[in-house]
Amino acid sequence: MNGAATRAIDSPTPGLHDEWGLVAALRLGDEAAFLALVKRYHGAMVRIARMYLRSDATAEDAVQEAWLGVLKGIDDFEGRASVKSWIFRITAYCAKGRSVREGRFVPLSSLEEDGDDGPAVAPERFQPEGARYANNWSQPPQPWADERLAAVETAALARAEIERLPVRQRTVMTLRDVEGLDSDEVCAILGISEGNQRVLLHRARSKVRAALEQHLEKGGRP
Amino acid sequence: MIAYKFLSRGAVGPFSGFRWPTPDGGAAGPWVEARPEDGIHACRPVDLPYWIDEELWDAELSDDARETSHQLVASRGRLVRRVEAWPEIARAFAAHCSETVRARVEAALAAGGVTAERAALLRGYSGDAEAFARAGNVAAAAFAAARAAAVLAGDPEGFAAERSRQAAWLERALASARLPRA
Amino acid sequence: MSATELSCRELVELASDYVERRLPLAERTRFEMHLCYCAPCRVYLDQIRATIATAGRLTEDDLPAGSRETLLAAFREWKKTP
Repeated sequence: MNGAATRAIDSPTPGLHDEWGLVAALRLGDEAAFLALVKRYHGAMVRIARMYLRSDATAEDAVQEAWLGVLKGIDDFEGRASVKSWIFRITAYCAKGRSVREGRFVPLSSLEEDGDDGPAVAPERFQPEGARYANNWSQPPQPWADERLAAVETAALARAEIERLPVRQRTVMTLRDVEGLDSDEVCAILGISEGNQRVLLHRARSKVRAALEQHLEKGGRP
Repeated sequence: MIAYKFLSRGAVGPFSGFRWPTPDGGAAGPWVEARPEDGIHACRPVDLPYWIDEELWDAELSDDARETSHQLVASRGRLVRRVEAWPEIARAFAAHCSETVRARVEAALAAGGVTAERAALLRGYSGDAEAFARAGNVAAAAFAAARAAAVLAGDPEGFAAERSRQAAWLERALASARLPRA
Repeated sequence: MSATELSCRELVELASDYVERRLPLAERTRFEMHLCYCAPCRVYLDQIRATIATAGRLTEDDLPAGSRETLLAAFREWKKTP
C-alpha cells in the first residue's frame, strides 16, 4: 500500500518548556522562579503528604522539608522524569519518612479500603430484576449544558467535592486529573499498584460526577 | 480488504472522536494509522447490526486485518466511499425490525400458552421497537427486536439469532443498493 | 438477554477504566456495543469525561499564611550555601 499514513489521535504533549525554564532559573538562585514552582505545586504536595500523615500541620511540615530536598537536589536533577513528577516523588519520600519516624507508617497498599465500596450510581437509578430492561437506566442522566459546565461555580463545586473524598481517592484524582500526571507516574509516586490506582480513580470520579450532576440538573439526583 | 465502517455525523469515530479524512473526488481518503495498542475497527456484514450509527462507509483495511468477536481490527485503514443509501436503508431496517417483532409477537400471543409475564415483556419490546423506529433510533429499535426474539425463543440464544437475521437483511439491502439502477 | 450483553448498571462501573483505555478487548467491545444502542450511557460517559476535564481546570489553592515566608527564608538560606 502506498501513501503517507497519518497518525490517528494522539494525546497532547505536556508543556515541559516553562517547567525547565523555572528549573534553570532556580539553579541560578532566582527567587521568583522558586516562588512560581511553589505556587504551582505546593497544594498538590500537601495532598500527597496527607496520604501518609494525620494532620494538615504535619503534612505542611513534610512539604517544607520536601522543598528543601528539591533545592538540595536541583543541581543534580537530570530530567529523566518530569520536574513535577520528581518534586512529587520527593514529597512522598519525605512524608513517608516522617510517618515512619512517628511510628505510624502503614504501607498504603495495606490500608483498609476507605470503607466505601458503594456503587458508582445509586441503585434506584436502574430498573429492577424482572423489568423489561433490568439493570438499565430507569432515571437516565440528562446532558449537561455547556455554559453551566464551564461556569466558575462548577469548578468550585468540583474542588469542594474532591476535598470531601476519602484521602486516597482525593490524592489519586488530584494527581491524575487535576495535575495531569500519567498512571505510571502516580503509581510510582504513591507506591500503589495500577489496579489499586484504577479503583481509587473510578470511585473518586464517580463521586465527583454525581455531585456535579446534582448541581447541574435542576433537582438532580445523585 | 474492504469492509464496512460506521461513523457518527461528519465522519467522526463514535468512540475515539477522531475526525476521519474523507475521500476527495473519486480517490479514497488517506491512510490512517491506529495507535499501536489500538486498531482501526470495521464490520463484516454479520457485525453490522451491533454497530449501527449515522454514517456507513466502505473502508479499506491493511493486510494485517484480523477478526475479533463482532469486529475486524487492522493497524491501518482508509475511507473509500460513503454508502449514500445508508440513511434510507437504516430507516427501512428499523421499520422492518419493528414490523417483524409486532407480527411475531401477535402470532405468539394468538397461539396462546404465553404467561402474563412473558406477554407483558413481548408487548413491551414490540412497543419499544415501534417507538424507537418512529423516533429514528435505529440501533435501539433493532436491539428491542433482538430482546423480543430471545423471549419468543425462550432462550437467550434467540438474541444472537435475531441479530444474524438482521445482519442478513442489511447485507441484502446494501447489496441491492449497489446495483446499477434499471 | 444475550450472555455477552452489558447492562447500564455494569457499564457505569467500567466507565473510568474505559476512559483509561484499560479494559480488556472483549470487555471494551461489549462496552462500545452497548453505547451504540444506549443514548443515556453515552451521556453518562460524556459526564465522566466532563468531570475529568473540570478537574483539569482547577488551579491550585493559595499558599497557607506563613508558608510563603518560611519557604522564602529556607530558599535564601540555601542560596547562601556554596
